[in-house]
Amino acid sequence: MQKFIIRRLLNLIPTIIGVSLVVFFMIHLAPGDPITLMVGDDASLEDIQRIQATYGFDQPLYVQYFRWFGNALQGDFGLSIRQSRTVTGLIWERAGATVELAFMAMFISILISVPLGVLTALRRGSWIDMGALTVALVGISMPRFWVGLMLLIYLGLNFDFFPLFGRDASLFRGIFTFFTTFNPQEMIVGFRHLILPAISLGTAATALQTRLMRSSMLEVLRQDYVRTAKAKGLSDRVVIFKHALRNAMLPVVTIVGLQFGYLLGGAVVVESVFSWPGLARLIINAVSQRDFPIVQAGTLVVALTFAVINLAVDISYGFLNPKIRYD
Amino acid sequence: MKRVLKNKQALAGLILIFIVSLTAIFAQQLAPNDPYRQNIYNRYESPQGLGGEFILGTDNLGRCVLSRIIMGTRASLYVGLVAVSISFVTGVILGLIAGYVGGRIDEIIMRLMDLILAFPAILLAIFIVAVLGPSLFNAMLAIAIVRVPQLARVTRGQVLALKEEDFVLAAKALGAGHLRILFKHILINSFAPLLVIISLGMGLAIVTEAALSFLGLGTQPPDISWGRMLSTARAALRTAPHVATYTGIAIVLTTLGFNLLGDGLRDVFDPRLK
Repeated sequence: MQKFIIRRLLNLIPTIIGVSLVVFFMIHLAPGDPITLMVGDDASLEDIQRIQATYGFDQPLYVQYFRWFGNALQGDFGLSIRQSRTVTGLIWERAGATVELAFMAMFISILISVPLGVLTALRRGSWIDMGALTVALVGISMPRFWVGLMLLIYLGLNFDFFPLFGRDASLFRGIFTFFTTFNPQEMIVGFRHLILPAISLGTAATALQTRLMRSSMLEVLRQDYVRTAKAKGLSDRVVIFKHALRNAMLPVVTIVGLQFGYLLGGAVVVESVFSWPGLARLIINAVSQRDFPIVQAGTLVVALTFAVINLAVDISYGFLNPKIRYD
Repeated sequence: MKRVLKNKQALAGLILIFIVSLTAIFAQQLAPNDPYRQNIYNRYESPQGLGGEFILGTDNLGRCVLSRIIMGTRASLYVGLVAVSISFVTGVILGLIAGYVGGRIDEIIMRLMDLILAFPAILLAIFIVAVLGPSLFNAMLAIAIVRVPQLARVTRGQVLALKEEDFVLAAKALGAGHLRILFKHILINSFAPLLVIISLGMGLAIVTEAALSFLGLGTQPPDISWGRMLSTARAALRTAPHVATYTGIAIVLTTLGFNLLGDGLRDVFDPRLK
C-alpha cells in the first residue's frame, strides 16, 4: 500500500510538468501580443521595452518558462497584466468560492442519488424506477448552465429567498460562525446565495450517480452473500444496509471523486450564469482580456487539483476494498 | 440492427434524432418566419401559440424564436458531426497504432492522452479556444481534441484484446498486411463499443458547443446557434423567459436523442450491464 501511494505520488510529477508545458507554450503561441493590449498601439518603444522587462517578456521563451515554473512551484505566479495585483492573491481569493460551490453540488447530489439509487434498485421495474431513470437521463442531457437559467427564471425571479447573483457570504464560514457565536445570519446568507448555483452544477452529477448507484446495488443484490444473509433470516433492512449498501458504494466512491473534477470544470459556465466570484469566472474573464498570467496559473491550479483528487480516489479505493492489491 | 430497433431506448433515441435531422435538413421550409428578420417594434413578444404569427414569441431584436430554434438545429448537428468525426478518426488511428505497434510508441501516445485527460474537459476546450481565437471551427476543434483520449483508449483496448485472437493470427499466417489486419479484422470487430462512444459523444459535443457559444467562444454572429441564443436570452430573463426556456428544450431533446441511442446500444451490445 505504502509503495503504491509513493508510486502514485511520483506519477504526479510528470503530470505537473506536462500540464505546465502545455499551458505555458500554448498560451505563447496565441495571437495577440499582451503588451500591445496593455499599453495601446501608440505607446513609445521605451514604454514597451520597460514593460517587457517588468514581466520578463524580453527573455527567450524557454527562460521565461523555467522562470515561471520555478516561481510557480514556490506559489508565485507573477503579476496580473490587467489588474495590478499578484496572480496568486487573485486565485487564492477566488478558489474558496469555487471549492464551496463544488462541495455543495456534490453534497446535494449524494444526498439525492444514493437513496434514490437504492430505492430504484429495490423496486426494479416499478414506476418509481422507470420514472427516476427517465428523469436521470433527461438530467444528463441538460446543459448545466441552462439548468441555472431555468432556476433563475422560475425560482429566482419568483421567490425573494433566492438572490439572483453574487455570493454575499461564505456558507462554510457562516457555519463556523454559527457554531462559535450562534449567530446564523452569515450562514443563511451564504446558503441562499449558494443553493441555486449548486443545484445547477450538481444536476448532471446527481443523474449519473443515481444510475450508477442503482446498477451497482442491483449487481450486489445478486451476490451469494446477500442470499446467504437473507437465508439466515436477517431482516430486509439489515441485509440492505449492512451487507448490500456498503459494497454497492464502492464504484460510487470512484465516480464521486471523478465527478468532483468534472464539477470543477463545469463550474466555469455555472459561475458565469450566476456571477459567482469563483476561480472559473476569473479564468474566463482573463481569457477575454488576454490576461495570460491568470489564464496560465488558473488552468494549472485546476488541473493540479483534478490530478490530486484522482490520486485521492485511487488511494481511498484501496482502503475501501482490501481485496485490491497494489503490486 | 433488428436488436437495436427492438430496444425501446435505442428506438426512442433514433426517432428523436430522426426528427431533429429532418428539422435541420428542411429548416428553410419549416421555419414559419425569416429567422434573420428584425423588427424592433416586436421585441420580446410573448409566445402566441399555434395560429399566431410568432408561435414561440420573439427575441431581443424582434426575430421569430421558433424559426431561429429550427435554424439552430443545423449548427448543433453540424458541430456535433464535425467534432465527433475529427475525434473519431484521430482517436481510432492513435488507438490502433498504440495497441498494434506497442512498445515505446504505445507509451508515448498513451502518455499524451493522459496529458489531455489531466484537464477537466470543458476547461481545456475553453483554453484551446482562447489560444486559437473564438470561432466556430476552433470550437469544433477544441471539442474534438478533448474527446480523443477516450476513443484512443477504447480502440487500444480492443486491439490488445483482439490481437491474439485466432482469426487475427490466421489472417497473419495467410500473409495479410498490417493495414489489412488492422482495418479489416480488428477495427470491424471493435465497432460496437465505438458506436456507443460516438452516440454519447454527439450529445456531449452539442452541449459543449452550446456552453462555448454561451460564453461567446463558439459560433459568432450572425450565425445562429442555440448557445448564442441562450447567451442573448440571459439579458432578458424577466421580460422574455420564453426565449431561454424553449431554446434550452431544443438542446435537451437533441442531446437526449443521442444519449438514449447510446445507452440503448450499450444494452444491446452488452446485456450484462442492464
